[in-house]
Amino acid sequence: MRIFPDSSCKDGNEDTGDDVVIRKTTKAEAQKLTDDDGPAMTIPSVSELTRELADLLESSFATVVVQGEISGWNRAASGHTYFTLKDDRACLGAVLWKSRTLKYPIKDGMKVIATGRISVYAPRGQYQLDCTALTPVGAGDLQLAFEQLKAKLQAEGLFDQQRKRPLPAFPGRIGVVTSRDGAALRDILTTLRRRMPTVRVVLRPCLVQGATAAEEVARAIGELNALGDVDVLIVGRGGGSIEDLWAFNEEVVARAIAGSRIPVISAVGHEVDFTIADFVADVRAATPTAAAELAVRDRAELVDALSTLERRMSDDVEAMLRRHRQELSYLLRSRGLARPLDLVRSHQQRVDDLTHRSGLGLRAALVRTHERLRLLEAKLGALSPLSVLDRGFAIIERDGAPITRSSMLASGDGVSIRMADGSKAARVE
Amino acid sequence: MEQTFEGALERLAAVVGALENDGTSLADAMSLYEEGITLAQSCRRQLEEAELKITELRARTEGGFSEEEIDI
Repeated sequence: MRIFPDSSCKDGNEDTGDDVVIRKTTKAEAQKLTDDDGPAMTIPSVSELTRELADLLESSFATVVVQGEISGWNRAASGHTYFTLKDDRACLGAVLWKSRTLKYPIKDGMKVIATGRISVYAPRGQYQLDCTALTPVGAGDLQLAFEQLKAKLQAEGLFDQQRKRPLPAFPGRIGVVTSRDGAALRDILTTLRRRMPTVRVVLRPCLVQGATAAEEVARAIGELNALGDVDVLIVGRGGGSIEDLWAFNEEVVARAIAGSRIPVISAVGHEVDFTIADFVADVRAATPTAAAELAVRDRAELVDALSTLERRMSDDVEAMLRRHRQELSYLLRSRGLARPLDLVRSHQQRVDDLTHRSGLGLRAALVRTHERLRLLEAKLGALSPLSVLDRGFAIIERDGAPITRSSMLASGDGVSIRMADGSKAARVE
Repeated sequence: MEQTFEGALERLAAVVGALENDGTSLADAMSLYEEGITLAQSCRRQLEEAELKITELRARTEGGFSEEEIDI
């Protein structure tokens, strides 16, 4: 019996010429079975034989550690990754289920140490490595490079809390750096629509994974800075594997965020860990949706703020009218005031007009003001020199100006006597 | 006159400031008040009815950028 290795193996397997006997049958017995109708011995089916093979392999190789080179690294739509581990003489098919997360990005050609168990995939008669962990042999180097970059940027002060700028309370325009077709953009826009649809958005789409992504993200940040009239940036992407997010650990992205004149919210959809971009950003959001929620307030807050402003305005106006009423009362104590009622009437009309138009719950305040004006009018009416005339008093005027002292008149002066119903000319004796 | 939302808010803040300034005359105060109430109503309406405006920044082949409205 020969066990055939993974047919996707590119190296091919040398025909060693060795047969591995599994079934405990001697050559003689096997010969006998095929020769004639010997004793009734059950001949196993392919499945049954495979089952025995699988049991043997899986129990003997329940825990395996192996080192090899990655080839054919392929993440299927299901999220599981299929790949081959090889060296110059053999290869081993392997699978990494999507639930297994990696700490480092894995690429073809990398030398890795893989841990897992051997399983047999009966439908294709193949054995494979069910991989539970994968570590690049140079992982120490990769980790080191990451830590070195982090330390370098931290020493430069790029992560300092004092550097981080506060986000504008009411941004006019938000710049978004993410991929055009990802879920991240949809989540951001949905959230902005819900919270503050009056905000404007400018999108600068770019790749967010792959070899060129880091450069593109950095360029996008620069372009939005150059554009002007952008008040806050959201830079990020949706969730993915560590290799998908790696661009946000690159120095060029960190420098672009640090150099951005516009405050940056990082939104690299990787709930638990922080990328270097997250450390440098002014604010870090756990997801793109969270980023949009940090960027804008809910419009209900703004509606409340508007109500408060309206209240302040009506209070201010009321206070002013009150002050002016007091001034008027003071002025009326001196005589010779021509037409105080007109002044009050025109203001009252304006207030009526505004009361009619406002409909904002200010009616109570304005009605109060209105009432006070009415009282004022009544008071003025009583104090008015003109109503004094109704009571029989007269105003003596010369050349249009009122005479208040008899000493102002000389014999023979021509004067005008004003009474309630009109004036008459007279001469002083 | 079509005013941006932020423009209206800014003007509203200025109106409130002017109304609280003791130096403002009664006549001015009345017209400021009118303006302020109108602005507040307009802002409120915009908050209720606005649609998110999105533009996309694209590099032009001849250099420079264009900004176009998009619908997502």
